[in-house]
Amino acid sequence: MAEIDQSHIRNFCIIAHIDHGKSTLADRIIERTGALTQREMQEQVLDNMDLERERGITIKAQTVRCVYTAKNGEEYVFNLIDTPGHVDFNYEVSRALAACEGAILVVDATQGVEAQTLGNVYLALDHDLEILPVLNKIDLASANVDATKQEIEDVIGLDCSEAPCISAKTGLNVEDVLEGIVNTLPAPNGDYNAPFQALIFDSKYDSYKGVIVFVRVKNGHIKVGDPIKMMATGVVANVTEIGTFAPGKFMPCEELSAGMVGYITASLKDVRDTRVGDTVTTAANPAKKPLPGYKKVMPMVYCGIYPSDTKKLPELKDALEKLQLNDAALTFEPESSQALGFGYRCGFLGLLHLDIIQERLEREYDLDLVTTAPGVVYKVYKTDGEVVDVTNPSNLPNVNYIDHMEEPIVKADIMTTTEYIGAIMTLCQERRGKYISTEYVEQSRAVLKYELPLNEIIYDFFDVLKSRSKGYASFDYELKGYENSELVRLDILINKEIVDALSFIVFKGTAYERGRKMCEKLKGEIPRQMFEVPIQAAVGGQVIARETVKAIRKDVLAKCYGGDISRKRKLLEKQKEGKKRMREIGNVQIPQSAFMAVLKLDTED
Amino acid sequence: MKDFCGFYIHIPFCVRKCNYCDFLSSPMDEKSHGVYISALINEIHLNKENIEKYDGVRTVYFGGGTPSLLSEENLERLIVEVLKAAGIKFELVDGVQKYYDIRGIEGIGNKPEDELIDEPGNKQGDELVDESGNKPEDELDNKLEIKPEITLEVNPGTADYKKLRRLFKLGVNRLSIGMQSTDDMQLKRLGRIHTYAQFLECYEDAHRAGFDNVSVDIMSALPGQSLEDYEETLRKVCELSPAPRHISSYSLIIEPGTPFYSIYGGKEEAECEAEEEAESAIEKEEAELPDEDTEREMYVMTSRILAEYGYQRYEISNYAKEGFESRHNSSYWTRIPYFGFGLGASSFVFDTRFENTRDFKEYISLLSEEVIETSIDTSIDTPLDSEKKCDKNEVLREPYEVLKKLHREVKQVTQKEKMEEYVYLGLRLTKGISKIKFLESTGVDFDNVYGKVTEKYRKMGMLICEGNIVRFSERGLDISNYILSDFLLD
Repeated sequence: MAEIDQSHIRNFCIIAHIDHGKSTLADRIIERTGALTQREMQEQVLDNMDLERERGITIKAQTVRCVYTAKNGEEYVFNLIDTPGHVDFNYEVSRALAACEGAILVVDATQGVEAQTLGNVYLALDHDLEILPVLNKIDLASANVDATKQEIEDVIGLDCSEAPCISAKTGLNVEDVLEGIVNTLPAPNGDYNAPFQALIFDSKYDSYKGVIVFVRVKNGHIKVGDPIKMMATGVVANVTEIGTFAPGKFMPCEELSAGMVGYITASLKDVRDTRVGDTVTTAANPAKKPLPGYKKVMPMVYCGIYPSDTKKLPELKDALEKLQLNDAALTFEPESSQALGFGYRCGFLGLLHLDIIQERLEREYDLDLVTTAPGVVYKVYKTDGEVVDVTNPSNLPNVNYIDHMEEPIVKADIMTTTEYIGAIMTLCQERRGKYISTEYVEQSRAVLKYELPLNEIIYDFFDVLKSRSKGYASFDYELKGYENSELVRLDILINKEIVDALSFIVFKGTAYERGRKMCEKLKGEIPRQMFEVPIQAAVGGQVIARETVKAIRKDVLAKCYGGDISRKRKLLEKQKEGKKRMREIGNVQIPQSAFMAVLKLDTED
Repeated sequence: MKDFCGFYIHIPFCVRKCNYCDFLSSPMDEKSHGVYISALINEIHLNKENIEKYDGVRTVYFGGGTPSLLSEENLERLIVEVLKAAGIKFELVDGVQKYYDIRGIEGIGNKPEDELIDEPGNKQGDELVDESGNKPEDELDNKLEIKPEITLEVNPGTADYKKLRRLFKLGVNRLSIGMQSTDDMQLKRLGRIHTYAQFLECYEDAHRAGFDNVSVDIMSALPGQSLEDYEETLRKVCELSPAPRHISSYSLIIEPGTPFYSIYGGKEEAECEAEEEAESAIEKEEAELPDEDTEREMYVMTSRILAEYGYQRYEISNYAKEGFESRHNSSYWTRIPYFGFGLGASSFVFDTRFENTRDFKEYISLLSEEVIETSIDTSIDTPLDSEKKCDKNEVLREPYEVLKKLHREVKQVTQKEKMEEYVYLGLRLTKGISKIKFLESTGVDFDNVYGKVTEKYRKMGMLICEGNIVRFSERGLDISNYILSDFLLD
């Protein structure tokens, strides 16, 4: 196979605020370039996880190769990498961006520029990508094309005079986007004869082929049989298959060369050998330097995940390993809890990420899970000068050994229409936010800048923000760093015993309120027992709140008429079934739902 | 060891349905009563072979519904046939009820060895044979005198002296009278058909008719009932003259499908209001259910006050003067076999549990005269399942197609269920269960199966272990279901 003409390749991604029509546009591009016939099209081809379709969001970056015959009569290869829109999945966006030369910025003409529009644009600019702005949803009556164009020019500084105005849904003007890709976005310019360098931007495990690494080839070329080397891990293997991405399937090819996006298999069995962000080179003629990798993603939110059925621990481990393979941001390590037995402390990028992983574990791996309250990573400065990262409240050193603690702070941009500024400022204040500035984007819209403790936003900040702004505010954040804070561990005692799985670290000033809410919530969750059960919240051994679950008064089947014992048996069986869903801690039956219910402590009343 | 069994005979008729009642019963005309009694007798006849596999019948219980509602003619027809099928010959000699085993099985008349309830109250009959040493009357030659317990449920307002006397003469020797409360307001709310005065009349008539073994049913936790109201009911019952031999006290349970459920059970206001309009007899405003604490106090008070008057609790809801524990009721908890005859009746025979159809029309048509005749002609004798063995290696036989159609949810009790039943039924009796008897009955060592869970609850003070006996403590009995569910095996 001859050297591919790089000038006819376009590697690009689509970036947008969530719900602005990114995946729909991707589908139209695939359809128009004939990569799939109409009949083969299933709605939103790229969102192929059930979960993605159901929630209407993209979780994983997806890649597809299509061939477009431009108006100039020439054929172009498009490598389209679809990216997630949610702030939790920024790392995915960043991985995708590193594989591209250009990005299509989709802006919903009915909504205008939003917080994540900005966030994603800045990410793309960081990667030196050329940006093609596209105005979407112009078929809707509420679309305001001119105002949106103006906004993009004012807020982002992109020229919109040539921007395609389309409806991805109806397909209107989509060819303008295709031509724009050809004419506006740059072609790759790698060196075919240089030593092989390819960036791993994703990977996948296949039980027949082993690990499949998704790469963007920057320089050089490889064929099947070539020995390759992972530059970071040093692992060497022979290439068994290379290819490109057809929608929904792998398409083997003879050579992968500079400028191309494709996949490599090399009988690699261990996921850990192929780190996303690593550079693949050839063993025979290795590159001198690896490509710049991605910023290592640091999990921001941690929680314990336990199998409901303690015997399912190996299955949980296996599932986590498989998920981690193409989700570099997921971390986990074994831990044990008196209340829940053995499980894993898992790290996530945010609460949505946690939610998604938990759901995937339950659905794709058929596991029943108990999750502990999510928390962030605290830095604990001990009196002996040691600094420890604490992700599990149970590991917090004794108060006597703590000099001070720090918690992660994020810089948050909240974009809103001006009428909700007051409500949002109140919310940020409640969440211990530090006001930085208000920047007016246009007369009726502003970006509020705040610094907020991460642990104040991981639970439900986004939901509350949406409800208080009637859906008009959008939100983006990035980690700023750690700051000193007055933090305490709030313990929950059930029947005078600390239930480790319910402990969490909280700002001292809100400990009482949180403790009270926890007790109230648990009172509603814990069924009556044979004896009275006190539920207490305590800080440093001092009880700050208490509720009591009354004892069962009477639980007898009074009449068993005419020897009808089947009724009695059914009743006992039902009761037994109920007990199965409980964890017994100090003779108290605690339903698994209690551990989950405390996660939803802050929902607006 | 002899294998005795009991009969439960269901009469699904009442004058009107009480507001709390979810039993299989409804008002019907007297013609239907007659048709039903005929069907019932046919059912009993069809079970002749099965009954004769047992060494005899020692308890008979006519429950309902309201059995006392039946006409004297229907009652006579039924009772005579039942006793005949039970192999019991009855006669009244100088006003004394005498029973003989007409099958003449040797040893009958002595208390079965495995009978858990001692019953001095029945001694008068037991000893006769040995005492006299003489052969009884001519026609009873070689027949041994026995003392079965034959109970019939009575509702005040449905049985006058004449009917009660007739029952006595037919051989019924125990009455269970549904009084429920001594407060007419309460009785009205419950939808009872009688007043307290009518109960007193009935109670007096019963004794005048010759009955000595009389039980009275009362209820607690009634709408609008205060602790004092309930105490008054308790004391009035105990102070009746002569005092009842046995008292059953049930806490009101709001069962789905009853008028009370739509008022006190469901939370839907709208539904509630609609029902209230329909059921004008029930006035909710002034009749809230007692709160939980009051209900519990009533429950505790029951055993305290009844003890003052010499009644011992022998089962969760049953109290008796010494020797007057209901043998029939206890037999349910000690896994003594019983045939349930009639609409929806449950049976436990040959280690098999099943129940009859609950459809009245179906019951009648299955057991109609014509069907029976043809059925007997083409009788086929197929064991339920020849593989399934039980005591004495007998199995339930459904010799006629009719029985197969009649019986529902026929289930051979498995070894696992047997162990579970032994515990969760047996522990309802305050005397508890014996580990030795458990081993004899199931062939399994109790502690191997239940040692751990028993110890857990013993430590919590819910169970008491004394030698080979395991029984509930007072507190344990209160919340017995909660504990017993842990005795179901995986």
